[in-house]
Amino acid sequence: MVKAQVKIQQTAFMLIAITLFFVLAGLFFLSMKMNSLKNSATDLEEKNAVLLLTKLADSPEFSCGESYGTQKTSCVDFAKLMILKEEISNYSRFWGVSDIQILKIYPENFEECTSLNYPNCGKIILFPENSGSGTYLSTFVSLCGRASLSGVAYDKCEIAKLMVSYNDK
Amino acid sequence: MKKRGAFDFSFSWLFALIVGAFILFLAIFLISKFSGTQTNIQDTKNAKEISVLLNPLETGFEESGKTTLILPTSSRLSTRCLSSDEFGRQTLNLKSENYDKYSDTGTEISFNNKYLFFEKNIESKSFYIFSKPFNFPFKVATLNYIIPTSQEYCFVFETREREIEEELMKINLSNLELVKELSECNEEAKTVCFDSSGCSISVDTNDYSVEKSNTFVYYEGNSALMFAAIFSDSALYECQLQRLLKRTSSLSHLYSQKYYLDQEAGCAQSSIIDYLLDLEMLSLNIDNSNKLSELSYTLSELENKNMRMSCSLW
Repeated sequence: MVKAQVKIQQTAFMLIAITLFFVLAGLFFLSMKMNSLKNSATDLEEKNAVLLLTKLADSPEFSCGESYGTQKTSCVDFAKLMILKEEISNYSRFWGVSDIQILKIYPENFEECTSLNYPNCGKIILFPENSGSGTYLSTFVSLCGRASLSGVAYDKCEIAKLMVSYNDK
Repeated sequence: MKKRGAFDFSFSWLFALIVGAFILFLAIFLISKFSGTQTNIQDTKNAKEISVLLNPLETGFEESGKTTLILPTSSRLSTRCLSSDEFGRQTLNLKSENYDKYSDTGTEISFNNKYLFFEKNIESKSFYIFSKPFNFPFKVATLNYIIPTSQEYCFVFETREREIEEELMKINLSNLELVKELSECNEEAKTVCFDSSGCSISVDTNDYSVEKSNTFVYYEGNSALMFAAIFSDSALYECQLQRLLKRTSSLSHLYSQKYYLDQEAGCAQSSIIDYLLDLEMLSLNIDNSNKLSELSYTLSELENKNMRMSCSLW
């Protein structure tokens, strides 16, 4: 009787050990899987941001269209951006990226744009609450707007950097 | 006294059998769950990749773009359109074929800035995706159309529709056939008639309407909406139209504000502003495509006035 009980105890301990081993192995495997899944999600976010960046300047809310002469590729309308900045709450999840910024690089000007200093400014942050967070990707664009000389309007294009940020998962 | 060779069915045997069966059942259950989850992950990844791959199809000044999507297995694409948010949103669901059955899994991928048009539950291993800009009269969005490569479309032009014919030739997809008579179409092809009858889809270019399964939908602007009506079901078309009109209204507001900024810079005044404000308001009042014609006058006036302006808005 005692021998049989010892045998059952041995089997039970063995089963518990095997179960524990499989649980630990399963947990390890799951954490590896989760890690690779997170990496895939981050890769897709990055891919999305890279591909979006190449085409963002051509989207209707940004593009110059034929407003400044003939149709230009990678041309961002300064006036549209200023208005978009005011209306940005409607676009919070529209492009699927965490932040979009435009930085004038020639002539260099790091003053943030407001309705008071437009067009003599050089930095537009569309999503200020997310500014500085995430990974930024950038491309060069021309930033065109209308300026005035002795009361006569003329088209003015400058070199700028369009930046898009995405969050790591 | 036990017989020699008889099976000794002791408690330890019974215990081992029960525990063994339990472990076996648990292993099979976990494997099936895991394989289901893997399919779900893969389907969700594929759907997300489709939405990411649509970015390069965003048209700039080019008239159209196209790409071929080839999936590892035959897959079923379905979509849901919601027009209630700020600009509405669309979800994409991909279910891959597994042992002659489409998986029940696949998480929906949602996007706000894309407009996909396709028939309900299309199934194929490969799909053609082509895109066209939707101008109303300024560019509002890029519309993407998805067609299974196995589904042939036969466009019947009994009368000359040069612009549409040229556009279709430029798109240059192997499953789009252009003929002069309905009898020239393949039996399995979906037939599209222009200003004539007898086809599964009929386009009336005078009335700006598309008839499909006895349901009429209407279009305006350039041919982008007409292709959307041809390649998608009417419910999806009407919902996407609402999303596009919301964006039109928002862009009208953007251009009206740009008009004032340009004016401050010294640009001459124009009556275009009245039409922009009209479009901003009217486009939100259109709840069905049959009311789209109410916008046609405003649209043509806006196009003319913008062309004549010294500081054009778009």
